[in-house]
Amino acid sequence: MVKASVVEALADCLDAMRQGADVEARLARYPAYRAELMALLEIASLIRPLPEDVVPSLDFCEKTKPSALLADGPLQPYRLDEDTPDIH
Amino acid sequence: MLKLDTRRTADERELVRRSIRRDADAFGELYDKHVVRVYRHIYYLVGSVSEAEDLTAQTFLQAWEAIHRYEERGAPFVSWLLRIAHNLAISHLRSRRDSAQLHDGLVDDSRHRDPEHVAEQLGEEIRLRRAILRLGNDQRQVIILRFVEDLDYREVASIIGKSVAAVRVIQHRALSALRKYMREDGPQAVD
Repeated sequence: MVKASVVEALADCLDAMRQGADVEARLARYPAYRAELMALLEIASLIRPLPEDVVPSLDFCEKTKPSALLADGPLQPYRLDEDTPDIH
Repeated sequence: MLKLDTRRTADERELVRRSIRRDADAFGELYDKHVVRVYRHIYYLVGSVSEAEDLTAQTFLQAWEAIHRYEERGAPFVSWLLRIAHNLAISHLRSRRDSAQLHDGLVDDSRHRDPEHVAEQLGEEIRLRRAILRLGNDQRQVIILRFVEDLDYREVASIIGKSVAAVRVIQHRALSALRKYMREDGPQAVD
């Protein structure tokens, strides 16, 4: 059993989850917090990372770059063209 | 590393000072540094490319118009941008009338799964996203930066201007709050 705060225990268990390590073995270090940690780990497991390729298009970045837009006065709305999918 | 971080911070402060003096090129450099982070943050909240791009553009426009106020607050610049981005995303989501739009981007491989499971997962993701939107600013930023962006504690601490220890505390409080909000929302509640 490891003496730690629930904050540290949670961080430790989240690291185990992230690394694909044995979370149950990590939880066993903190029996006093087990119920709370399991509930919070369940919540954490629901939050899915965003894929790395979710980025604004080069076209968007060029057209909305402040130096380009501000030179002509107030920013104008930028609109996708009709052929571009709306979900990454 | 510490010297490099200090220099980067000093460089950014200089860009902000120049931006306050209405130097569009300096603000453009701030834009280049942070546009991807802002966009990803907004996209996670709204789930639509067109809306994320519109709101990202609006974020930087508002930041340009209000940058003198940033200097007074002293928070890291990107954290301030993310706060603006969040407020815009919230306003936008509140103005949405079509609840089907809330589903955009939440499940992108549903055609390969059991329909009942898909419906259950979709409901859970909607509840989760609603709960994340209810979090306070620091808590929401920690959740998105740690779990959605998969950044480590040091990176998150740098972005939000807190210590690593403080980030861990916020993480615990944020997950506890999410648990509470999702319970309140219930498994059947979908707008």
